Amino acid sequence: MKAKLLRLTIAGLAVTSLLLMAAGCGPSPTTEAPATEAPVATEAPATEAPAATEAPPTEVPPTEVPPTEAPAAPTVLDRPFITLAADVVFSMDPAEDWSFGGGAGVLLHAYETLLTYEGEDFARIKPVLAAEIPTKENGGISEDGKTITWHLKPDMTFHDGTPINSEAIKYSVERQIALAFGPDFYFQNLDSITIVDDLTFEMHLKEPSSMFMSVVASPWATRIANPTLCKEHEVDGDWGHAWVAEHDAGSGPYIIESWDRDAQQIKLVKYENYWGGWEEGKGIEEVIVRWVTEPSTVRALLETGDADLASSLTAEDWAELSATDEINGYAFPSTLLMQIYLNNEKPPTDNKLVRQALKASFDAETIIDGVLGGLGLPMDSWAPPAYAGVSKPSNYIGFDLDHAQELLAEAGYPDGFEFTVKDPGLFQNSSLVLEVWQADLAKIGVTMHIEPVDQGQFYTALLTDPPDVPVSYLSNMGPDFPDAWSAMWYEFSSDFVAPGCCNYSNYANPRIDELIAEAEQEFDAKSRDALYAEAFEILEDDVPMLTPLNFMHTVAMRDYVQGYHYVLALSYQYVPYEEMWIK
Amino acid sequence: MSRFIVRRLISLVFVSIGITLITFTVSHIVPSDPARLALGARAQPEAVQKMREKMGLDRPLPEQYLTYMTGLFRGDFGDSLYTRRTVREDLADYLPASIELTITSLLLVIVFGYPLGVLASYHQGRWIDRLVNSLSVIGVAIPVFWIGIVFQLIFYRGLQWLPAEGRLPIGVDGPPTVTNLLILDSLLAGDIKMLGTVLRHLTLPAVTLALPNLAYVVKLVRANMIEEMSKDYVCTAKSKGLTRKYILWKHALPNGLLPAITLTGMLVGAMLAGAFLVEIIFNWPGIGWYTLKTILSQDFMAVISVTLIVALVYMLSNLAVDLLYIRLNPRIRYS
Repeated sequence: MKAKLLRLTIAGLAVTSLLLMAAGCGPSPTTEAPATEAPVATEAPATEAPAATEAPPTEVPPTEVPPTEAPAAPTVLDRPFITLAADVVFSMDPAEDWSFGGGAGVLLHAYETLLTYEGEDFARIKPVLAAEIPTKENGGISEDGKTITWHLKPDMTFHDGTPINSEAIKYSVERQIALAFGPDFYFQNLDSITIVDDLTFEMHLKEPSSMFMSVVASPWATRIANPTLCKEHEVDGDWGHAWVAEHDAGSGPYIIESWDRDAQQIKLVKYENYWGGWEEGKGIEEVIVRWVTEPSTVRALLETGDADLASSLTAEDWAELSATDEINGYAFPSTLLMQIYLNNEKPPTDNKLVRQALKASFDAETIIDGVLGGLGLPMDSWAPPAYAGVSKPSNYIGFDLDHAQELLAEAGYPDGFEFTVKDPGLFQNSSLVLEVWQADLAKIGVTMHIEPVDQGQFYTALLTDPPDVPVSYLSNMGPDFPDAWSAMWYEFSSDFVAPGCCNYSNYANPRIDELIAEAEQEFDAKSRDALYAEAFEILEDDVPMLTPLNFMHTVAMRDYVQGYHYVLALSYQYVPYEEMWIK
Repeated sequence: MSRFIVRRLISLVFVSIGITLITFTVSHIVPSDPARLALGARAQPEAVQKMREKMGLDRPLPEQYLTYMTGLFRGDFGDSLYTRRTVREDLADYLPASIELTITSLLLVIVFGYPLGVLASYHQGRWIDRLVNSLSVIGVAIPVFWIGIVFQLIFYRGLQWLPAEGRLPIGVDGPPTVTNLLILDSLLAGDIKMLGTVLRHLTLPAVTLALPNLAYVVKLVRANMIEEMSKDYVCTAKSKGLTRKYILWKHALPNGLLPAITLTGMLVGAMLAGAFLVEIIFNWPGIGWYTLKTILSQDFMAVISVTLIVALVYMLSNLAVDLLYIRLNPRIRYS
């Protein structure tokens, strides 16, 4: 009987092996890259290479998009360009959407902002609908810093021909504030808008802010919706929301042709009459953004050439695919940081020496290499390294378990303590990250319990019920725009202490409050950087929370896809279709 | 008989109310704030409070339940936080995909499961029985997500015979929507080419969903048929000179299939509710996929509505099974 069973088992295994071999030996998928003409230089380099990793068996691919040149007559795919995305769109109304998947991934192609960020420089802003960036020098910002005068470019129109003028901007911004779906957050400091003439208007601020231009350039802040269409489809004072949530009302280089919820895809079509015109040879004709969440499916679609670009691969899949000839993979620093909130009000983490010890016990480099597949950058300051105004504090606390032990002893915890970290699983392998840290903490006598929680409980607990320490939270949030100020404002200002948004560590330091306020009103970049430097020194001493690393985003595309470049502030879901072409 | 059906249908109403009461209460007492989750971690407390008021979460729980039930009797399932539209619209989009997948899988289970079980029992102890039995053990033991991924690897990545995901190829418009069941809509449109495309996309998810259930049915049918064939009445029939094949088809089969029919009835609801892994792997936009997303978003209205629908499917399929019992076994009477 046993022998029969054994034979059957062997036979079963043999059948399975044969099937798998058949899979491996099947015809290799090929996507024929159409012929192209000689390239010309265009695109922006991305960033430095991520740290080497143990996980991927292959060499980590380059993180810099090689410069190429657009042909005079680009090759056209015989089907729409297909992008695979992970974040599902909830609404196409720019006043409602506040997501990476919708906001940067789709809506920014159909809706335009007054200003935006340039890819070549992580923190450089450029005008889109605005004729120029208002400054004190060009008279765009009043002496008291509270009135911003905007001039619009002439002859701009929405997709239906409605002119983009001061009235349209005023209506759209007021609509966003009135609907209060979330993106109104960006206009907390806006008092009113006054129309000067058809192409000139003023924004009156409650307080002067040197950050206002960065806020306005955010992909979610000033996406302007067509007032004619909004008013035409208004029902019960909803500012046309029900209609705009499902239809295109924008002015950008692409029209949202369809949103198929059933197939989970959005189709963008090149708008030939775009007011900004088109560069010769550039611009994908038709794009389908398809939401596919299962990593193995994403990988299979990209491998076979049924999809052209994917930004939702796992670290392992990304590394392996990037090593193939047909697929190019790139990794870029993102706006997301790993954050571990520590309650600054309750023992033992009310003691800054304990917080310093916890910081010294976190081995970011090992975690990046061993757990995150090299896709992270260690943080040696309090904002992502690529942001404006970031400098390393002189009192920087790096990984050093002996130092951590000394700090604990000095804090009165020579034998350690117990605490819990709640993990809502906001990023891949988050539990493994905590396990590595847990092992290091055990070496200094600290017992860390890891408790998985769902995201609903996580957000609720963060805001409504400040944790009874010892409880901390693992998160992956990040600043809204690429300036050090954005990384400090609501994370460390005492105005935002819980319950409420967003100082989840309950940290309060009057000097930090002063520095944040002073920096906001300082229009000179060098003077502002000096204020930031002082703030970083204080934060490094106080350690209000842990921000050990900056996540990197990955993108992989078929080798015939040309012209892609990355824009840090718009994040990984943004694909510049209008500047891309097929080789 | 008709009194039995009416009674069951009346009890179905009360059970449904009970289900809504339980799911509504449980979903509202978990320590979580859907308004906060909907607006994100950066939303200001005022905005969260406004959203809470809009969703009615600031009102007492009994009042919220009463409002929900009043809406439900009007066919209003409430609004989904996840998709930002009515749950009824969502169900109209996502339910047909799951129904199509479940019915196809169920047909595979019935068409292959019953005959294979009978075949194995008929050839008990021989190689064919051992083969069927071994395959059923594998089918029961291997997790469905693994089967799905391996199928993708073999039939999409390797052999390139079948598509990896979705109900239709990316960028291809479906047949004119009548029922949103693509097979039926393709037939109604007389579009045979589209029907072929739809079936190709349906094949891998349907087979993946069917396999573990098929294995259960095969094992159950085999075991029951072996048991029936060893009963006294079979001995009597044999002693009367009836052939083994005749006894099997005419006498043992109707009795032996009864437990399998019960299982099949239960499978309808289980497959509908349990298809979420298959739906995620194959990017199949059904209610399994929808439910998973809505659960993670604390989208109460959507979760309660899907729970109610799945429960109704369970109850109706059980009723259908009970009625089928009477047809198959005249000795059974319901009063």
